Amino acid sequence: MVNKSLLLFLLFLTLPACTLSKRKDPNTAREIVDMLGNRVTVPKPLERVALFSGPTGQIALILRADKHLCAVTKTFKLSPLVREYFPHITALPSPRTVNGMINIEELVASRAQLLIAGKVDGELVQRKTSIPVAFFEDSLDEGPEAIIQEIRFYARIFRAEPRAEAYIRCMKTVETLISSRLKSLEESQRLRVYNGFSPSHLVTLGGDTFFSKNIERAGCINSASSIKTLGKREGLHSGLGEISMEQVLAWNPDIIVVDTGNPEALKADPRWSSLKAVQAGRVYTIPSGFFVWNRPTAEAAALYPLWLAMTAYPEKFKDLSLPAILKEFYRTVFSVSLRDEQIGMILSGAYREKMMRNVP
Amino acid sequence: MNRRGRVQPLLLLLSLAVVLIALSIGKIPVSPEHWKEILLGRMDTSAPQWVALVQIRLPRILAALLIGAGLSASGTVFQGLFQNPLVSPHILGVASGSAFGAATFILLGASVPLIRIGAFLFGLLSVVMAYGLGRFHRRSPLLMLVLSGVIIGSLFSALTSFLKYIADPMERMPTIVFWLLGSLNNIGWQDLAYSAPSMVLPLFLLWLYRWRLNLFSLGEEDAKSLGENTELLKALVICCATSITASAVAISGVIGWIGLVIPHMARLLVGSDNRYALGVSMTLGALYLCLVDTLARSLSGMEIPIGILTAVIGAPTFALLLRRAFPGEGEP
Repeated sequence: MVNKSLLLFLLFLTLPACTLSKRKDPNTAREIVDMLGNRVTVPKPLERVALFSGPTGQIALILRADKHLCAVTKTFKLSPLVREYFPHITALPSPRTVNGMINIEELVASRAQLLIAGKVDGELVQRKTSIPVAFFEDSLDEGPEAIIQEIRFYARIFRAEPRAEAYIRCMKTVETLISSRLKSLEESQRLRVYNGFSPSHLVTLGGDTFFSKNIERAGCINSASSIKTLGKREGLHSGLGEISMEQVLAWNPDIIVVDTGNPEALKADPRWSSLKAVQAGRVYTIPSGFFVWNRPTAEAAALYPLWLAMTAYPEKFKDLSLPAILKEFYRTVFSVSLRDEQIGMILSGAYREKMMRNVP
Repeated sequence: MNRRGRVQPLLLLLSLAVVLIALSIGKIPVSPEHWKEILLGRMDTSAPQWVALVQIRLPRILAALLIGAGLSASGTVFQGLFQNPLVSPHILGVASGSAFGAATFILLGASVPLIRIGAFLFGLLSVVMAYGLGRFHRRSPLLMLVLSGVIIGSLFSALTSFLKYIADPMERMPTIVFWLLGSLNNIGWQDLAYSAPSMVLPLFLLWLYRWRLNLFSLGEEDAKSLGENTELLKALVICCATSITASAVAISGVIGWIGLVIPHMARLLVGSDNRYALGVSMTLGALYLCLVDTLARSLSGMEIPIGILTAVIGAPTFALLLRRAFPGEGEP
C-alpha cells in the first residue's frame, strides 16, 4: 500500500516534468525573455495574445501584430484612430478595465496562448490560470530608452524585429532633427513649459517622470522639474500629482500645455491671466493621435518632443511642415495614410475629446 | 464673565491669527512692503503678489472658513436633533446624493459649475427622499429619519459605484474618484460667490435659533407638552443643515471628520448648551479647516489630500481633549 502511494506520488512529481519537456519541443514551443528577465515558454505558432497594457499597447499596431490579438483593454478600444484603422480590435473582448480589475473567465474564454501584462495584472492571472504571462516594465521614470526596450520586447514575442527597428530608426531621425535645429540654443534661452492636466489644469507630471525627459528632448525645461510625482495617487493615473494654483504662479512658465478645455479661457480667469504664457498667448492643447501625447506611448515618445520643439521655437523650424512630417511618421510607423483633416484633429487634441465621447 | 463666555472671543481671536498666518504662507513670498502696497491699493493687479493674495489665497481661505463653520454647525445641530453623538452632517445621505449628482454630471461631460449645481441638487434630493421616507412611520420619527437617511445614502452610494464602474478608466473614473476625495485647491471668487448664499443664510438662521435647539434635548414628547412645535423647528434645522452641507460638498468634495468631531470638541469646551456650543463649534470648525488647508497647500510641493490631514491632525487633538475633559477616568 505504502509502495503504491509512493509510486503514485513519484508519478505526480514527474508529470510536470513531462509536460515541461513537451513544451520545450522546438517545433511547438519557443522561449522568450520578458522585460523583467523571466524566461517564458510560448506555443509556436503564437496566434492568440491577450494584451493588458492600455495606451502603450499601440506597439502591437506598430508591429502589425493586431491580427494576433485576442483580448485587449477597454481603453485601447476607445481610440477613434484604432476604431477607424483597426476596426477588428473593437470587436475583441476587454477582460481588463483598470489595474487589478480583470474578468478571468472572459480572459480564459478568449483562448489566449500568452498574456502581455504589467506586474499587478500579470501576477493575478498567473495565480488563477495556466496562461503564460510575459511582463513589461510599467515604471514611468524612464525616457525613450524604455520605449525602445519595450518595442524590442514586443518584437521578440510577435517576431516582428524589422518593424521594431523601423520605428526606432524613425524615432532617432526625429531626435536628430530636433537636436540639430536646436544646437545653437543657449541654456538661458530654453523655455519653461508647464503641462497642466485635468479640468483644473493643476495636475502635472513631475521631474522624475518620463515626461520631463520628453520636454527636455524638445529643448525646453519642465516647470515642474523640482517636484516628484512618481507613484500612484487615488483618483489620478500613476505618475500624476496635484499642485496648487500658487505654485504655477511661482513658476510663471513661458508655455502652458493643457489637455481639457479651451486655452483661451485662461485669459478670462484672473488667477491665470497674469502668467507670462497666458499674456503672450502661448497656451496650447496637447495633441492626441492614437492616444493623448502625455502618456509613455511609442507615438508620443517621438512626436511630443517634435511638436513641443516646433511650437516653442518656430523660428528654428521655419522650412518644415509639421503636418507633412506627421503624415510621413504615421505612414512609416503605423502603416496608415492619414487625411489632412485627421492630422488637424491630432494637432488640435480633438481625438482626445472624441475618445471621451466613445465611452459607452 | 463666566468660563463659557470667554471661550468664544478667545477662539475668534485665534481664528484671526490663523487667517493672517494662512494669508502670509504660500509659494509666492509676500514681503511687508508688498503688504503695504496691497493695503494702500497701490499694487498692480497683475503682480504675482496681488494675484497670489487676492485671487488665490483669499477665496481659498474664505471657503475653508465657511465650509469648516458650516459643516461643524450642521454636525452640532444634527447631533442635537437626533440626540446621538455619532451623527455627522452626512447622516441623511447628503454626501452620497451629492456624490451621485457630481458623478452623473462628470460622466455627462459637464463643465465644473454644472457639476457643482448637480452635486448641490442631488444632495437636496437625497434629504427630501430620506425625509419623505421617514414620514411614513408616525411612531418614532427620529429613528425612522436616521434609518431612511441610511437607506437613501446606501442607494446613492451604490449608484455612484455603478457610475464609476461604467465610466471609462482612463478619464472619467479617475475624475469622479478625485472629485470625491475633497480639495479646496481650485476654488476662486466665482465658486465662492455661487455657493456662499446657500451657506451663509442658513448659518445665520441656525445662529438666530440656537437657543431653541436646546428643546430637542427634552425629547419630542416633553417639548410638545411645553407647547412647542418641534416639527417645524426640526424641518428648519434639516433644511438649513442640508443646504450648508450640500453647498460644501458641491465646491470641495466630501471632507469628513470635521462635522462629526468638531461639535464634540465644542461641547467639551463649553458644555452642551447650544447657545454657546453652536458658536464655538462654528468658530472652531472654521479655524480648524483653515489651518489644515494651509498645511495641505504648503507642506510639500504637491497638494496633500485634505481628508488625510483633517483626520491625522484631528484625531490626536480630540484624544487629548478627551483626556483633559475626563481626567482620572479609566485609571485604576
